[in-house]
Amino acid sequence: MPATAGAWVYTDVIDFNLTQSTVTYSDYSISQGGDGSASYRWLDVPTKATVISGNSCTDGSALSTPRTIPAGDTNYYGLFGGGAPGFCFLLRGRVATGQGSMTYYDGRVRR
Amino acid sequence: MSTRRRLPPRLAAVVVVAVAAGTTAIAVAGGAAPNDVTLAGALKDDKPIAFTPADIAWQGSELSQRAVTLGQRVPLPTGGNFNGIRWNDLQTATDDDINFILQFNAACQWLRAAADQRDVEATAAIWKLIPAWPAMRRGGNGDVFLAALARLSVGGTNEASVALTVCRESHERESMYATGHGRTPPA
Repeated sequence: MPATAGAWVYTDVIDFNLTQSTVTYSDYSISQGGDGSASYRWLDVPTKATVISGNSCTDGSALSTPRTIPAGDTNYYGLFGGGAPGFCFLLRGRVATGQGSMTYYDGRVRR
Repeated sequence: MSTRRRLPPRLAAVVVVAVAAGTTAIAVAGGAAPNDVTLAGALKDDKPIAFTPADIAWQGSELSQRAVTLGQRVPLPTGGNFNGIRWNDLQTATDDDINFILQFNAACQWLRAAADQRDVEATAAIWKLIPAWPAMRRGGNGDVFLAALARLSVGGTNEASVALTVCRESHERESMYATGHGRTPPA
């Protein structure tokens, strides 16, 4: 269940299992109370550099340049902005090239 | 990878004709016939979309070909096609990824058809089935589209819902992308 804090909607991402091929975790929609952007952070301290992105549900287009999150970084990283409330996007990710895989790590989407 | 399914004879014929006419493989990813309510109904029996990472991940031309194959099961309004979908932006995609985007894109095309009052009879019939498609069963997606559809009958197209606006914006991107790659843009 999504938890709300202030105007944003936060949704935990459980076991975002990543390899070097980009995978989809789930689809989400921009909330009524946010500013139209979507961001992602790791809750578990990542041991690898990861690449996280958002793609449109309607045509698969990349909504911005994928964000590289360094190993050890648990700050939020903006995925894209300008989405209307209800705008649907796919949360996707991979580990950085040459870093193998990273499994059972949890994160959070702010939208 | 050798997991491509055999197409039913009718659909296989469509592909053969298109290839014989000299079009590229991706250009025939036009979906099923607009009035094929049987196919639209069959999609509801597909397994739920779970975005399982362990599934085969397609990429490059194999991803495009897989989208052509899976797209033949998804009905579209007259003049509709999937030529504007940016499979390359995904880099890799599983069948769940492809099916989700195909179905979401098709729902957008049928919503625009309803707003523009195209294929009126087929549109009315298909909207009784679309909410049961696996992509629409996820997270209330179907409810969002049904609310947008209901708003059409109440407010007309002058008060476009967010869903319709998003679908129209996507259509602009799709048309630009398709045209830029020498393909027919969706209606």
